Amino acid sequence: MRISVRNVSKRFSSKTVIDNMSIEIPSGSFTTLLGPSGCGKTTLLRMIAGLETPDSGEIYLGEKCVYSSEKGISLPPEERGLGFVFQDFALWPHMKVKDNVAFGLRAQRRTEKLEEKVKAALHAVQLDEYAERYPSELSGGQQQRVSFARAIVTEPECILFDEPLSALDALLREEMRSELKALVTSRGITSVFVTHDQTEAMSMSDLIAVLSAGKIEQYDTPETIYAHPATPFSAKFIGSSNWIDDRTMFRPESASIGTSGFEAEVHGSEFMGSFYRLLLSHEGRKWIIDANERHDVGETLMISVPQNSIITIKEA
Amino acid sequence: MRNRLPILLIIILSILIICPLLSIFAEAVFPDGQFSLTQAIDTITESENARMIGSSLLLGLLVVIVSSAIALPLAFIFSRTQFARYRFFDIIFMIPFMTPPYIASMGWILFMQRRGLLQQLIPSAAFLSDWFFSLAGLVLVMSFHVFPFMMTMMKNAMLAIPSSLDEAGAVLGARFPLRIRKLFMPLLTGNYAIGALLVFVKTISEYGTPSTLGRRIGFEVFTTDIHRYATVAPIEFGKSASLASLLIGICLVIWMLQNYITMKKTYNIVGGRSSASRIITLKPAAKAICWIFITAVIFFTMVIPLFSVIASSLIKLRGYGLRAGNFTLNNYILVFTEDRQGINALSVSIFLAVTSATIAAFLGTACALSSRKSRLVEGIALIPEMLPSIVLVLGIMLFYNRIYKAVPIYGTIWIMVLSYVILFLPYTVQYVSSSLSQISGSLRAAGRICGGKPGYVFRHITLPLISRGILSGWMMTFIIAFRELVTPSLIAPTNTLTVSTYINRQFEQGSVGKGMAMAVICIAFSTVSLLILNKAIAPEKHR
Amino acid sequence: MKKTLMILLVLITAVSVAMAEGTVTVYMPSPAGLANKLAADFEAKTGIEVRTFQGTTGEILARLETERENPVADVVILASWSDGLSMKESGQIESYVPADADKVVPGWIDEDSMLFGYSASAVGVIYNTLIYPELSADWAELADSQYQNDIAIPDPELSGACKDFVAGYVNKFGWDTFEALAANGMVVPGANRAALDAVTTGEVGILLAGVDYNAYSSMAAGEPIAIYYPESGTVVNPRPAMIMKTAPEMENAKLFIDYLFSEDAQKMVADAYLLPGRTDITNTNRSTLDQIPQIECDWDAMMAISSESAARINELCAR
Repeated sequence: MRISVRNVSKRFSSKTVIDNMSIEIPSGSFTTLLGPSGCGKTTLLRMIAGLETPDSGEIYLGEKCVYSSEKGISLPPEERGLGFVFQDFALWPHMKVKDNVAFGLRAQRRTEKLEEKVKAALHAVQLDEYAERYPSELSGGQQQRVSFARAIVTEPECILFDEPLSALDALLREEMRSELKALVTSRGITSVFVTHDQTEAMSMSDLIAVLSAGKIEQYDTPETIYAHPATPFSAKFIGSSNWIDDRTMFRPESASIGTSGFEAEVHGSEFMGSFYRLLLSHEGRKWIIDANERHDVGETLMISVPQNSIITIKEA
Repeated sequence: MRNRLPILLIIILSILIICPLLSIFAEAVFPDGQFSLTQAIDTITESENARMIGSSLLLGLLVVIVSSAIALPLAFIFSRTQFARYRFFDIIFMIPFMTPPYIASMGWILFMQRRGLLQQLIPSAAFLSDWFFSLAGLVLVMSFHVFPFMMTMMKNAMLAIPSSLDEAGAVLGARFPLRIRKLFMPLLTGNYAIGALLVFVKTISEYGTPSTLGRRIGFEVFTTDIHRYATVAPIEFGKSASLASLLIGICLVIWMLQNYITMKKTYNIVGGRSSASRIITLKPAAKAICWIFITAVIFFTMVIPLFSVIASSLIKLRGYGLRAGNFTLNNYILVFTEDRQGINALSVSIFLAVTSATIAAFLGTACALSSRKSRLVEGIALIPEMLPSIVLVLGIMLFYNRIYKAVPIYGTIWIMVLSYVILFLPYTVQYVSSSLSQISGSLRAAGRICGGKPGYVFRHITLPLISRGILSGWMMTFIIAFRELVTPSLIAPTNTLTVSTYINRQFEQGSVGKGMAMAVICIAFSTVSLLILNKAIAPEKHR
Repeated sequence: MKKTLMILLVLITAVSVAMAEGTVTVYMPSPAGLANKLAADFEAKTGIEVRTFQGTTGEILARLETERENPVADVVILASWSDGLSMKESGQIESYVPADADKVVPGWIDEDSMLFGYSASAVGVIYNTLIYPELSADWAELADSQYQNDIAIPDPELSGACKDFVAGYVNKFGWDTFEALAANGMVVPGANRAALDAVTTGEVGILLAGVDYNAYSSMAAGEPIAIYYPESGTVVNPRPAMIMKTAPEMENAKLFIDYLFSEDAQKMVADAYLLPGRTDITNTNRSTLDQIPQIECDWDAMMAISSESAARINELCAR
């Protein structure tokens, strides 16, 4: 299911959170909304779900208009037929796991084969054994799996994820990433995933939308954004960047230490196991470059960068 | 010393709290020094008393129902809709609680009685009078007093539910009524049960309203019967104690029930960071209905009783009622000039409030501090909050009467101080405990590591951090003690009136104007003290 | 913690010190104003501190009962002669012949010289003049249907004066009148002042057996009420002052009784709209003793039935 957001704006009291934003999310894709906190990514997600009402613009789910300020349409969340996974899991503490999962089917009166569907959903998240437990009796990872199961059991065409992994610890988070991705892509579900973690975004996404201050800076594949950032903000937010001037930069891995190129002074050297990370200074700008040996603080190095690896950003 | 402190406190608290309670049981089941249940059973099964027990419980039940009907909608409005932004309602809804129940019910009586204030304003409302002077009126007036408790509890419970729980239901296709029924209400049943039990206990423990409005309509309850048997000839302490024992039993059962529900039916909200609760923006029509409801509640619970009390305090001749030219400030002047009683009552009340608040602050702080070492201390110190004050005061009366030869304080003002300290000790203990719980252990540890001795660390780290709690406890005790009715009406020494018994006496003896003038002074005093208290606590938010 | 203990110790010492000499403890009923004036004047004249406890008859008797083990009261004043007689009967009262006993109204000191009627009240019919501009009906006539649901009586279990009237009336005429009044919707709004307040505010139009001195003082203040004594007669009720056998301050108690019959005290009594106990002091502000039609009183017979009659009134009016 394609999701179209057209010219949507949203203000909270006097602060503009979403500024005339448009985005087309292709059917079946895994799109990540990436940006620092306060950039409007969660608000955009909640507006798609119907949990927040825009001030103006239009939102389409597939061919269906779910919001239009002009036509006066604003469907409540319960009529949009989406899945949503919350940051805090939002499991109902007074219901057993199986009842949490079955709730959506019951609410939509789709009770035929209910038991089977719930079992299948719990099986998909490997919680077959836990159907009779209460949420408080599960670990954090298990609770998050229940919330996945609850989102997929109604077979929505689209699931929205609001930083679902941020409450988990680092190890568990990496494990859950691939599990989650597999869960949605195998079912062909369009996924919109909000995060502020660029590693998470790059490793999971088909497409990334980089958001800053209520605007979309760039919407493209992770590879394109990395290689050809459209704005200084995307360049800085995705990957490391060493700036030559305000418009030109290169990625650390494309540089090497040689005899010609840019002059830079060593400010620090960190041993990372298989390599050393050098903290450099070039005309007052801070660079990072990886090297095979230690260099002393104060030493001056020559950094060479192939011409085709120097990226120039068109607009400021 | 520090390790002996809990033991010392347990001994003191046992003498102060446990001994009076034991005296009640002793009076009930050892009528002539011999164990016998006959007196207790006879008292309880005496047809009049059996009927009284029935009506007490019925009253409790009805008040729970009516106060729920007021409190639940308000709790929802003030937690989940845009009305939550109007924080000043928090203060407004403290007014019914700050108005002593005996004053509020006097206000209602003066308003509703035949040819009373209501009928002077609207003569055709005469039919309401008969309806009001019945169980219905008693239930309403008592509900108007207790509903803020339930409202606050339910509001906090509703605020504690993250809105994502509701949103998750909405996204999955559940409409608003279904979400209320399946998600919202089950999460609140535990809290509601606790609130309802609290209201029930408060109602059957309440003395002020039954002793004014209840007596007027001949509706006897536990508290009025206990009071009557202990104060009006022929005195029958045995019967009084038997009823008190039964009341203690009922309260204990209810507290146990409450504990059970807290364990079984309240939920810890699971999950990571919970999202801030989001509010429903009401449509204009719904908003208007909410405004009407809020205004009606404020009108009935605050405006009418206060209007009635203030108007009565200003009326010159009762026979002419609300009529131009029949108003005077003379009643206020009479309170201070007619005889020494008014001034004496005020100074006795202030003396009692200051002394007992100060002693309770010391004792309560000591209890809160040692409850880290021994939970028993806190357990005993909080008993007075669980039991009706009339029961404790009866126990104090019996106990100190019995040991008069050794400790001759019965019949002096000091037994009142003692009684106030016992009754209001829980306020300080709770305020100080809650400040203590906010101090992480590492703060004290850091003080020790920096070289402070325990006493030094206590004075320079712990004490400054809990001082606000101590102050709040002191102020709360001061406010409540200032207007306390039960203790002085049972054990005030000869020649000693407090503000509450002064008002009661003037009201009963027909000097209504003077009584109500004192009532206005009392309410003004409580309100000003409360505002000071709020101001004193407010900066805590910055932490 | 030590501090708290110290405070407790100080308190206990303070209490024992407070139990010094030179006091007299008097338990007395309303009116509070008169009681306070008498106490203040006695203090000024003798230097003996008067400690008072004011309450209804029931509260005073209850207090005496509570304190039986540790007596506190020296003088007890009640509002009902029959209650005084029953206290005497239970042997709690000391006999004494006060100064000026010869000037006291005959019969207001009992034959054993234990009860001293230093003042008296009578009950009458008090009515709201805004509702009834004129009224002079006799007791039994108030059972007429034109007064239906507009009549009240003070609670005789709380008002000694009302109790004695009920006993006196029933002793003489039987129960018919009260039964008819109850059937006519008579209510019991509370003790004397509360009942008077009910007729003042017009909650009811007519109060039977209302104590007269309260009514006179309200009338003097300008309240729209009036009082009369029905022609078939009422009970004039001397208010007995008594010395307790167990009085801790016996001498001071006797001084206080002497004082009650002094000219100054008797004038204060008259100023409070009560009938004075001395024949040589008369009221100018109210009906005097000889203007009040009286029922002959057989106090012993009345004392015997007073409590149960009072309870019966409440029962009759409860419906």
